[in-house]
Amino acid sequence: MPEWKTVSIRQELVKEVEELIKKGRYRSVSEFVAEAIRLRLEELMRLEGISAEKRGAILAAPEQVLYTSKHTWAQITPEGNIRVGVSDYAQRHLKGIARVLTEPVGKEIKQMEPFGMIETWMFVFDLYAPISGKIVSVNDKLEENPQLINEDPYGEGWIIEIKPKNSVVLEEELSKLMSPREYHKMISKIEGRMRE
Amino acid sequence: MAIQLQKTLRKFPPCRAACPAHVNVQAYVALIQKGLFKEAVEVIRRDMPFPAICGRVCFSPCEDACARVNVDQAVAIRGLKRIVADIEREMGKVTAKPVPKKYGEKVAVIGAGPAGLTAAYELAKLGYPVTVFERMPEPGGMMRYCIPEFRLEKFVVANEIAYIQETGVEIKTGVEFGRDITIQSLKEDGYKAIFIAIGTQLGSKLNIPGEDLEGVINAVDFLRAVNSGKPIKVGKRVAVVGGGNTAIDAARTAKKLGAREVIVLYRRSREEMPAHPYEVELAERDGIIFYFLVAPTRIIGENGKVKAIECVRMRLGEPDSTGRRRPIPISFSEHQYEVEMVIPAIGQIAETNLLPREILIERNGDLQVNYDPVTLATNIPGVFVGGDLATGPASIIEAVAAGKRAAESIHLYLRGMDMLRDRESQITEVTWVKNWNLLEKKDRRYYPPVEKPHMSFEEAIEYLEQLKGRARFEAFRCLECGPCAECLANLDLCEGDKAVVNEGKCVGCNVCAVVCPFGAIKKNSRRVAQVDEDLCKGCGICASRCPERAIEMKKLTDDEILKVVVKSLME
Repeated sequence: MPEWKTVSIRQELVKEVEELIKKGRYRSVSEFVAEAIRLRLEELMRLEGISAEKRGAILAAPEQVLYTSKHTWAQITPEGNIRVGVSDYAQRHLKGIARVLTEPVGKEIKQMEPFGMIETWMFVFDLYAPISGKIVSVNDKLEENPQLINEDPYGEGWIIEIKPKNSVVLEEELSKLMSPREYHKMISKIEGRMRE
Repeated sequence: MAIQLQKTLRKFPPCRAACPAHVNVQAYVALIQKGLFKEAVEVIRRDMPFPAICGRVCFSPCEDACARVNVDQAVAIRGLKRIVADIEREMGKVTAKPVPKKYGEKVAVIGAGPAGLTAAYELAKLGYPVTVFERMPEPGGMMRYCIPEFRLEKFVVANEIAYIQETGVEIKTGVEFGRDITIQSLKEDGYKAIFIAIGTQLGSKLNIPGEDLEGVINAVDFLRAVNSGKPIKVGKRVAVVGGGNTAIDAARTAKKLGAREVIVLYRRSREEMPAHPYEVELAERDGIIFYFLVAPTRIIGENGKVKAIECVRMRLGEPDSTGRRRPIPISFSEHQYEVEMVIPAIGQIAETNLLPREILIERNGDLQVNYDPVTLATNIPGVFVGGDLATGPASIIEAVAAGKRAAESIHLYLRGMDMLRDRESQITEVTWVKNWNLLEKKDRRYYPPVEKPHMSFEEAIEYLEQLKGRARFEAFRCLECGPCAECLANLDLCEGDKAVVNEGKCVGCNVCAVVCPFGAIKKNSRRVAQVDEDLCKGCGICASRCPERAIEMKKLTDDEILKVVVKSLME
C-alpha cells in the first residue's frame, strides 16, 4: 500500500473547485481529487506505454462502471442519469470508426436492445443499451471526431446518456450487468478462444 | 510525382494508359497479390489522393481497357482499390507525413473540388506552401455536395481531405472567389501562382415555358440542398429530365427521400445515355422508370405549382458532332405526365461571370475559358485553370488528371522552366500483352461488399480475412501486361523468376536484347544472349519474344547456381 500524503491546495484553487461542485461537475472535493489523480495516473501510464485496456482495467473503479456482455458500459452521472459508452476491448477492435449513429434524444430504449451503431469502414457494430429509459443527451463531439472513442473510451468518448424510468427498475437492471472483474474474465475467455 | 514520371517514361500497360490520371494500376494489383494492402494504397496515393473515393465512384476506364476481357472479364480494378483503401482505414487511423516546405513561392488554389485538391496535394508533395479557397462551408466540391450519400459517404470524403491537409495543404472555407478574393488581391497577398478550379456549379436551363413554377428545381441545386442537410420536400411523382449521371443521382435521391414514383425522361435511347450502365441498372432496381425518346416542351402549372410536364416523342436521326444520333421531334405526338416536381438535369455550366474577362473567349455565343490544353495556362501569367471549369462537366478522375497537370505546370512555371517541354505527347502507347489463348477462362465477377454487415468483433476478424483472401484471388487474375509493375515499393517482390538462356538453342538474333525494358540482356563474346542477373526483373518479355524459345523464366535454385559456378570454373 502506498503511503498517504497531505497535499496543500492554493486558496484560489479551492474556490474554483467549490464553484465546480456548485455547478454539479463534481459531487465533492474528494471526487475532484480522485479525478485529478486518475487523469495524472492515466497520463503517467500512457507515457509508460501501458496498453489502454490495462489502463482502463486499473483506473475504472469497480463501483463506477458496469458492463453489458455486448461491450457497452454504464456509469451513473452526478445528475442521476446513466452514461453509456463502449468498452476499451470494443475500442481496440474498432480502429476504423467512420461514424457513430444513435437514436435521437427523447427516444425510449429498452435494456439489451440496440440503440445505435458504430459504423467502421468495413462493418457495422450494434450498440446495446445497458438499461431501459429515455435518451437525454447524445455526445455531439462524436459527430465531428468519432476517433474520440479510440482515444478515451471511458471519458470523452461516451456515446449517450439515458434517464432511467424509476429507481426500482434501474436497481433491477443494474444488477443484471457485469462488474469490471466479471467483464474482464469474459474478455480473456473470448480472447483465448480467438487465439485458438 | 508527375515530373519524374514524365522523364522515366516507359510504355504503360493498358489500364494505366487508359486512366486519365495514369494511376499505377498494375503495381497496386501486384502488391495486393502479395497481400501487401498498405503498400498498395501507398502506390495509389503516389498518383492520386483519393483511393477510397475513386474506389467507390470512379467510372473505371481502366477496367474497360483491361486486357483480361479477351480471356473472360476485366479485373475488378475499382473494387480492389476500394477494398485496399477501406482495409487500410479499418486497421487504424491513417495519417500523412507533413512534407517540409522546400520552396518559398505561395500557391493559391481556388475551389476545393477534386481538381483543386489534387493540384494542392501534388504541389504540397513538391514542397510548396499551398492554400485552397473554398466557397462552401466544407471542402470536397461536387464529391461532397453533389454525389449522394448512398454512393459516396460523407466521411469518406472528409477522411481523404484530412489526409491532404496533413501533407501540409491549408484549406480556407467560406471564402468566395470574385467577392472575398480576386486574382488581383491574391497577387497582392503574395501568391505567385493561382489555379482556378471552380467547376461548373450552375445547372443548365431547359428553356421551355413554365420553368419558374414552384416545384421545378435543378438537379445540381436539388442534390446540393439534400447533401447540405436542408429539408427538401419531394412530391409524390417526380420527373427528372436528362440521361447523365447527375440525372440518375437526382432520381435515386428523390426516390430515397420518399417520392412514390420517379420517372426519368431522356430524349435519346438507352444506348446513347451518358450515364454509366451500371448506375442505370441500380436505378432501375430502385424502381425508377425510364422513358426514352421523349423531350419536354412545357411545364404546366396550377396555382403556381407544377401539375404536369408536356413532352413530345422523338426519333433518332443522323449522328451529330458528338457521334450520338440526333433526336428529331415527331410532330403531333405531345403527351403529358402528371408530376408534382420537375428536376432538370441536362448539364451544368460554369459561373464565368466570376472570372476575369481577360481569360475568357467567346465561342458559339457562349463565354468560355481560353486556356492551353497542354499546360492549362491562361493569358494571365501565373494563372491556370482546370477541371470541369475548363473541360465542362466530367468525372472525378478527369479532374484529378487536370489537377496533376496543373501542379506540374505550376512547378515548371515557378521554377522558370519551359512548361511545354516534352509534354505534347499523350501517353497512349501500351505494352505487349500476353497470349491470352493459353489462359484459363474463369467466368466470374468480383464485387467488394457494398452493404456493411452487422457483426460482433470475432465475426468481423474472420470476415476481414475472408475479404482479403477474395481480393488477393481477384488480383491474381491480372495478366501483368506491363513489363514491371514499377511498384518501386523497395520490397524484394520480384526476386523470383529470372531469364535463363539455353545457350544451345540461342542463335544470337538479339531480339531479347532489343525488347528488354531494363537493358539486362546483351550478346556476349560467344554471340549468345547473356542475362545480367541484377538487372533482370523477371518480366518475361524476352522469353515470350524469343523465336527459338531459348529463354526460360525460372527460379535458380542453389544447386543450379552451384552447377553454373562449377562449370565456369572448369572452363
